[in-house]
Order: sequence, then structure tokens, then C-alpha cells
Amino acid sequence: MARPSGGNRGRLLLVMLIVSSLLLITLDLRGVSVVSGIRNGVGTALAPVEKVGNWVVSPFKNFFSDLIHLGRTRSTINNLREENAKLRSDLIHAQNAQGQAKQLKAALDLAGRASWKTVSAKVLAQGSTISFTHTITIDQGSRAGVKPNLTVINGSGLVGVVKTVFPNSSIVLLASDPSFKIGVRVARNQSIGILSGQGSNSGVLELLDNTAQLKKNDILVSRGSANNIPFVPGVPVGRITKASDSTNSVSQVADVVFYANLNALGVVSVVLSASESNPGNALIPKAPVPTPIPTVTIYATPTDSASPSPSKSK
Amino acid sequence: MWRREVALSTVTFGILFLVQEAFVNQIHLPLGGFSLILLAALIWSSISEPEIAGVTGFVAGLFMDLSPSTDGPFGQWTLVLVISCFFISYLGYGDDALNSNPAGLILMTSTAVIATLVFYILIGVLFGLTLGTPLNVIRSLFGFGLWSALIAPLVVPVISRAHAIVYSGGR
Repeated sequence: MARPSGGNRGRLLLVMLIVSSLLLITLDLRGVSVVSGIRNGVGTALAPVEKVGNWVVSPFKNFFSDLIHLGRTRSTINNLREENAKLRSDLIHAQNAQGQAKQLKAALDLAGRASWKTVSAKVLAQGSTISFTHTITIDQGSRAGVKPNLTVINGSGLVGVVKTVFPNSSIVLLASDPSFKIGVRVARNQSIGILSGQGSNSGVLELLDNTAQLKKNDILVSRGSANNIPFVPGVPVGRITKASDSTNSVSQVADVVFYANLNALGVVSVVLSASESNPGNALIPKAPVPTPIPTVTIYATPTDSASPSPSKSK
Repeated sequence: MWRREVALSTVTFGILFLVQEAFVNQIHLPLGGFSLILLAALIWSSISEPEIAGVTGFVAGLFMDLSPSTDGPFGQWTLVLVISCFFISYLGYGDDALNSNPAGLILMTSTAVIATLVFYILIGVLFGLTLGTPLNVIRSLFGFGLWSALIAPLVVPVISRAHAIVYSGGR
């Protein structure tokens, strides 16, 4: 078969097609809305077709690329797993640090209000499974100025007293320990008594003055010791949850819950020295203000139309 | 002049356009992929007379310009395909060594795909088309050529049959 020579008709047709194409390009580049509108219209019309196509193709649309990148995909999954584990670890550390920072701030606020000189310490260990005493180990010792029989507080109030000091750590006897005793004062009536630990987050108060009346939610603060050792005055200790009303007993007894949550200690402060002045009741935490509950009163006025009408019987 | 043929080929390319947009564009192929319309237009043209090839290129180019994913100005693919289809027809027409031999047809079509894309890039550069790094362009061209060579054996019999139906009534 001979190659066509390309007659005049063929050349004219080719020129016409090329000119038409150039005309379309010119119109589009000049921003004629009809041309761009056609493409937009086709795009809109194709959307449902593409949706159907995507539904049909979706099971194997990535088959070829996944097949080729199989090794790389496995490596990516492993990398992502490692990264995920690291991020989880970081998140846990961040949450831990956030909690500790919150506790530290509260403890410093409390110490700052009383003008006490404190050293903050992180709780390294809490108690021991083979010990019957309630203690914590903190990461500050004699090098930081910690001495035995110093008061230990946190943002909520009394935690305990330093029992044993090492160069870089100390053991603190918690207020919950059964052997722990502290002289306290009832903030409302200034009655004094002895608070003893009970092995849990609560203690028992024994009043020295039998005539004083104890009430539920009475607040207890530390009475203070000579030279502030072992206890500085004014530290919030706890509140009474149940007061004994027995008139026959020799002394009044009450159950007390400690302000500090002794089971969740992260950061504590050791009071190194206290100011000359007694803070009194200034450190007592403010009682939470209950959220007012809105009440809605509806007044209904009976009207004639609202009265039930007798139903028609057939 | 070829009113029936042009109408039927337009319908054929319209169907191919829908298949391309609905299915082929959805599959993520490594190194790019292939254009069913481009491949079909070049095969169609290589077994047609140059005038028919020019019209075929115009119709196929219009469909490619209609695609929402096309990045160039409307009419660019039309211009490129009119010229490419005309030239592949002009160069291959009557050459029995290429047209009648399936392997030769596949080779010619795959080469024409790359040549057409190079031409499209050159025209696009004139219109300010952003192409990326030369390495990416070369990789894409290689991918298009490779996929076209792989798909062409499947497409050639179908397009040849459709061409025969349109231009000779299926005889």
C-alpha cells in the first residue's frame, strides 16, 4: 500500500483541526467561562461514575503499588510501631510530670502562704510490701538540708514527718502510720487533742478537753511543737467525719480523714524552717462552693378548653 | 464525509473516557500508569488514513481535555493529539512491516505514547506548565511507556476490532 501523499483536502482538514485546537486554547487562556464551565460540568457529571468506579476498584486499587512496596510497607509499619510505643511512653511521662508539677505548685503555694522555707522532693518509693509501717522514700536527704523530725507537707496539708535521713534520700513516716501521733487544734473552737494514724487515709482524734464539742466537718490544724520540731504550727491536717456523742467516755473521740491523699503522693515538701509567726487558720483550704442548681417552677392555670370532653359513643 | 464513522468513533472514545475516569484513574499504579484514550487513539490512528487519524485525534483530545484531572489549558490535548495521530498515521500507513505485525504495532504505539507525552510537555512548557524535577519527568515518561507497552497487547485486538466495525461494517 502506498503512503498517502496528503492531498489538499487532507492538509486543509489538518489545518482546520489545529486551528480549532488553538482557538480552544486561546479561549481557555483568555478566561472564557464557557470553556471552563464545560470541564466543571463534566467533573460534576462524572462524580457519581467515579464513586461507583472507586467502589468497584477499591479492593485492589493499591494492589500493584503495595506489591512493589511490600518490603518498604513492612519497614514503615515497624517504624510506626516503634514510634507509637515511644509516643505512649512520652505521654505517660508527660502526664506524670504534669501531675507532679501540679502537686509541687500546690505544696509551694501552701508553704509560701506560711512563709516557710521548704525543700521539694520527689517520692521515690511508697512503703514496702514486707513492712508494716506506712512510709515513703523521698529523693532529698541531708545534702539538701533535710534532718530527722521535720514536717513533711504537700499541697493539701500534712503528709508526715521525716524519720530517717540519708545523704541523698530520706524516709518519711506517713500520718496514716499507726505509730504516728500529732498534736492538733480544732479550728472552730481551738480545742486541742492528739491525732493518731489508723493504717489508712484516716485517723482518730482524742480530745484532751472533755467539755468541748466536736462536730462533723470540723477542721484540724497542727498545733506545733517546741522549736517547730517535729511539727510546725498551722498545717491543715484533716477534717472530722464522725464525732462520738458518748457522754460516758473519759475523752471525746472522732474519726478524721486526712486532707492529703497519702496513697497518691508524687511530690512533697519538707519544711526546713518556719517563720516566727504562727499562721493560725490561714492555711485551711477553702470549702468548695456548691454549684447552684437552677429550679424551674411551672404554674398551670386550668382553662375551659383544657378540660376533657366526653367522647362520643356509637 | 465519514459522518457515521466519526459518530461511532466518538461513541467509542466516550465509552473509553468513562472507563478511564471511573476505573483506570482509580488504580494506583507504580511509576504513573497509562491513558486508555491516548493508547486507543494512537492505535486507532496507526491503522487509519491520516485524515481519519487527525479527526480521531481531535475527538480523543477533546475527551482528554474534558477530564477534570487535566492540568493544561482546554485544547492542549486536542492540539497534541491531532498532530500526533496524524503523524503516526502518516508514518505508519502502508508500512505492512509495522501495521500488520502485532509486535510492531505495540512497539510503535508505545514509542508514540512517549513521543506524544514529550510533545505535550513541550507545548505545556510554552503555556507555563509546572513539571517538577527532570528526574520525575523522566521517571514518569518511562512509567507511561512501560505501562503502555504492557497494556497495548490487551488493547490492540479490541481497538482493531472496533475500528473494523466502524469503518468496514464489521466485514
